[in-house]
Amino acid sequence: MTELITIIRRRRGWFDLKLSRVWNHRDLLLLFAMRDIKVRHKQTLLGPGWLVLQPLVWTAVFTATISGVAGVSTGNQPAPLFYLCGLIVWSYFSQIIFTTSQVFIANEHLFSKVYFPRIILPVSALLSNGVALLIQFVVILIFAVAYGWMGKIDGLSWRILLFPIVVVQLAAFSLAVGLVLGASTAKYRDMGFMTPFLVQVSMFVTPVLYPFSFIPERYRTLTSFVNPLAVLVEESRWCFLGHSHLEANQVIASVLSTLAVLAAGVIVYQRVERTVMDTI
Amino acid sequence: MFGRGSDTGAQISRDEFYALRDITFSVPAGKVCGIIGRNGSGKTTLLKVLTSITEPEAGEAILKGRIGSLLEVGAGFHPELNGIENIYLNGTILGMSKAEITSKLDQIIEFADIGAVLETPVKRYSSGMYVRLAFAIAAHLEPDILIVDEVLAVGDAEFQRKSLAKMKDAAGEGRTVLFVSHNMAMVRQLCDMAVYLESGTLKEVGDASSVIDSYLAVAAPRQTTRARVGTEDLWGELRIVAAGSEAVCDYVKFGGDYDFVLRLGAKQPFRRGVARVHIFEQEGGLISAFESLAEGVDQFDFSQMIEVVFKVRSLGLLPGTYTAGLALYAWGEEEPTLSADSCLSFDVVAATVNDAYWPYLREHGIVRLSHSAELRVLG
Repeated sequence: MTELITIIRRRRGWFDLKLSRVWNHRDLLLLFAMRDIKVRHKQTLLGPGWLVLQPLVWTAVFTATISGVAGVSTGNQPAPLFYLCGLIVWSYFSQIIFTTSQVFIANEHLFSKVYFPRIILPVSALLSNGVALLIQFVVILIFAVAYGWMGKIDGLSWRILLFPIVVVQLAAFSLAVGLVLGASTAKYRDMGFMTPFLVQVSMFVTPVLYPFSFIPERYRTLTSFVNPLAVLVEESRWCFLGHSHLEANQVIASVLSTLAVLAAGVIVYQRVERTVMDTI
Repeated sequence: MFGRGSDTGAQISRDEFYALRDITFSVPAGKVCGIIGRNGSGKTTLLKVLTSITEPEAGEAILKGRIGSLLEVGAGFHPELNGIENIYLNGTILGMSKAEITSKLDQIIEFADIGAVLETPVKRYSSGMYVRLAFAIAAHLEPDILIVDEVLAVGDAEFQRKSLAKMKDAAGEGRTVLFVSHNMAMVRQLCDMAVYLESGTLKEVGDASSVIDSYLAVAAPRQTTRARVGTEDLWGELRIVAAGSEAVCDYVKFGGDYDFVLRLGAKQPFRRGVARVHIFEQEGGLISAFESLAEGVDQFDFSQMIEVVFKVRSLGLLPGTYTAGLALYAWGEEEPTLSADSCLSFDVVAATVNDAYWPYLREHGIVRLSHSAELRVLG
């Protein structure tokens, strides 16, 4: 028998990732993701069609109102494609925030009966929502090809191959904010009211409805640091449409900020997970 | 396996308390250890610490070998997923790998014995089928240390027997088992040793039988045939009186007629109530339940005070000590609104029945089923 020894005592470290434990539970991680994918659209008529319909309806609404009626510029880009790029980034972020902020409350029963590294659930949400993102990516691709064929944009280029990198940072940032909110919601239920509000605000402070270039030039780097989502939206437009007002230091600011929030998220989440099941 | 609690002088505030304090014991590999104690004595907290669900403030526990815990059957079952999908999900939650489950899948399905519903979402299962499937998965968890909370008390008798056998096998195969239970008969039957906790401290540890004896000596409720539980807002009082009399009796005679009177009171009107009285043997096993609805008393509304009278005629409990508890449900609710296990304890004494001394004693069992005997001389 291999001598596996578990020592249970109060952990004192600040940053105790235990990546090996997460790796040991990789099957569970995938099964949770599979569960969420399978269950999400059970007993709905449209099924995964909702993943396509929702952004398309929003895009139509924005094209008609924000761009059409209010006349807000889309930076010389075809409005539907412009909005779609922003929407898929923002909706991935908001989905992750919603599920992860509730993770301790929604899984209270499970967490009080079985131990597994608690971070597995938020990470599995990144994967299951990734499927939605993939489907929406294909929708955009179809739009981009169509607009390219009509000659309204340059058409697809190698830039599309960089989109996965954008997605990785998007996932990291969403996870980071989700962990912070999840940990604080477990302690202070007020945060449960705060999250939907925060998600709505994030739509307006992120250039989803307006181009990045609307942000005054001297504030762009600061904005990128405070809200990396702004950079991520602009990057995804760059991948599909080719135009961008981003500069290198804004990209760097967003990456640094993402890493900082991720570290903070992991720390608070782990502090809370140790004893939260006694008080929730 | 070792556990050690130590006083490090950690500061705690006034509304906090230690659920466990200074618990030190070790369980040798291959032993089955029962953890006993009253409600609130810290049994569950101890399990949660040992299974990493919650972290101790101080002290440490050292566990040698792979740990599997069963604090609940069917943890993480998703109602929309089918049987097979839930086997994988629940199995991995309990710590098995996907490959391990695949290799045991046939055994699990055979053990569960629920027929051709494995492709159906478990939300369509009967509660019996649900529990069988869940336990089948749990039973195939093969850790070096198995930590179990009273989950055996589920399912039908045949299934309980199967589950109990599986637990014994686990011990026989050299696994260490930690088992929390209120059922002393089961602990006595299964465990080599026992740990007895009282208000978060270790009262006694040692050979199962002797620990159980000292627990029963202290833990049995005071001999009383009248008890009141609940709060000002909702309370229940249970008493045993001789049929037709009002006086609470000191003891109960075998074969006698008694009324178990449940008096209920509430400040706010309580709607659609269903009342139950539970009779337990001394070691905790449920012998019988009286339920108002089953006996033809409709769901009742009440405020202030009412009485539900359960009339027991020629009481069949053999001489010995028993406990009784009460429960009040709102109709349709799973959990009782008011409940107390073993809130009163009573002795049944031998008595004359039909002018003859009744020779039955406790060694003849727990209850006498109504019967008669005759001798036929043939040829």
